[in-house]
Amino acid sequence: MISVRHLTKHYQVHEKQEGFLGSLRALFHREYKAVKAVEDIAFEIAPGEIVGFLGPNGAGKTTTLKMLSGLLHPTSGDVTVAGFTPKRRQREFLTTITLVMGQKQQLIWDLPAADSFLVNQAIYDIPDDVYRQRVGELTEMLGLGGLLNKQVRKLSLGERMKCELAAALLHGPKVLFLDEPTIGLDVNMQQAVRDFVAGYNERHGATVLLTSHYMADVTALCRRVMVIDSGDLIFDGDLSNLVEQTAPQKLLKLEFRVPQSEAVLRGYGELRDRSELRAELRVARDRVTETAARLLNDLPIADIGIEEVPIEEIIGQVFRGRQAVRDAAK
Amino acid sequence: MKATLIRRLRLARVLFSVTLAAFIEYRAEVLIWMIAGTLPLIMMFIWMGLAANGPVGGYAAVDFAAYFLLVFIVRQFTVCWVVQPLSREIRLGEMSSRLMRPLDPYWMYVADHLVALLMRLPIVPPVVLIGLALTGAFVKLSIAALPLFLLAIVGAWLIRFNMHYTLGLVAFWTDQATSFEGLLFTIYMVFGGALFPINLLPPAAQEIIALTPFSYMIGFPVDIMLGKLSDAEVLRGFGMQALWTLVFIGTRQLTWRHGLKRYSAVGA
Repeated sequence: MISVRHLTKHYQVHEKQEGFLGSLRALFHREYKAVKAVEDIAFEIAPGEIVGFLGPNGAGKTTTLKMLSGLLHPTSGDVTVAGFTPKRRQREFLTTITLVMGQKQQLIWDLPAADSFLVNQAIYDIPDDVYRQRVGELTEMLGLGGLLNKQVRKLSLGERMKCELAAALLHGPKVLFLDEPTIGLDVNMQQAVRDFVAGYNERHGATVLLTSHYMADVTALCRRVMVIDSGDLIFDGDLSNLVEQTAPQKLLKLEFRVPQSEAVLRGYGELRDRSELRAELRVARDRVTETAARLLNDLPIADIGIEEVPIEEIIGQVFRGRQAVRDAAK
Repeated sequence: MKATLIRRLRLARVLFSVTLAAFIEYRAEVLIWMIAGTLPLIMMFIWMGLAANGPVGGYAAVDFAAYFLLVFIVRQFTVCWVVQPLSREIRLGEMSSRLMRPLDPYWMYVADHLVALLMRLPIVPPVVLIGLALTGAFVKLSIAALPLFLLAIVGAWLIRFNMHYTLGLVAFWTDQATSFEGLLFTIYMVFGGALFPINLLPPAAQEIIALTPFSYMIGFPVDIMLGKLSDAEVLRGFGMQALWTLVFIGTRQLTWRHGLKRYSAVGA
């Protein structure tokens, strides 16, 4: 559904002197600084997949998403989405995809969302019966009842995001690009958006590429993740592989009946967090069952849990590692 | 073919009615903008004062009254503020959500501006009629020229809107498009004839100005309504309006195509 090869985007950031004369000069003579936002990345996404796009701020996630949706022209490389070249922005392409940006809005601020919906109906040329059916479905899935006739500016952030999602999906796109769709929302609302995306993907077989700062979005929705850092695609595969590959340890959470000393615990693994009756140990993946057995045998254990290292920490570890390599190279 | 036409008409109707609804939310502001457009009326009083003791360059006080009241109409119905929002949307990346929809954002701005004209319809003509009655300038108008006057306003609007839209698109290259707008506005007001009738200038200057688009944005429709132009001059004027409209539509499209390649969709 989505095919990306050798995709590169360099921004020409021009440095301009201030004021009107500066602008006039900048019109004729400009000084540029190249910023490499995305550097030679490649991936394929199959129809119906939900893929999570991870990376720190400024890594190139949003730039990639914008190239996929045709907003940005790539510096070089090929992009195909549903058989179209995004930058040509043909009508058929734009009606096949949608881009939801958590920080941007398309709804008309001073009017009820229903009016913006009507505009979209006319722009996308959606027949009345299809329109009614879609509004009905989206109202049900997102719980929009009563929201559509309220002025957009009077909606809460979460309510507005739901209406934005609905407006962006009225034309029944097959490919969804979601850029931080849950940003700024409370936990319940994040959950609602997540459930909706999963439900929409299931019902319509839509392909979804999503970026988020909330790991919970990614772990809940995406089996596959792509990790991008400083414009390079550094991982593309199963979320579970990412965890195994970059976090060779597991987390043992212990509760004791009698306080344990630090010295004793250090013998079993990397001690991370300790209070009188609790401790967290990092233990190599292949030794975790053995270590657990030993602990149960040796110490007065009240409770024991084996968990994966939190995904936030893993990603953080990956990026810190790369930063260290870059710093060393300097 | 017919289906496309029906689709476009429906789109126009929806865009127009929704834009109107949004405008009504701002009706107080519309009134303030209109008050901000009263410069021609102020110029009218100044020139009427100067001509109180005898005609200036062939214009008596009553001629100035007719001239500037007509300038007021033309200015009000060719009002254009597209540079500011357009360049802001480009600079701040707000253009992105419009670009995701299969409709050139141009048409949304057209709808915006046309609705603003509609809002002025119940106010501007009565004000002008009262002005004409009070100054006795009614007799200076050539009523038979009314249809051509209206047509020339349409031409003036097309030149002005497309010119400004192109200027707004300059924001793809520089973030100072709005400072050029100030310069453009000054030239437009002077060359257009909003401060004084161009006829007061030496013939050589008049001929040069007649080559610029500005002549056809204010002075030309006004002179039609005052019955100052021969048939040949009217024909030539409409020809120049058509020419400049095509020039600016062309540059707008070219600027748009090249600008999109540079769009950096900042933010978000």
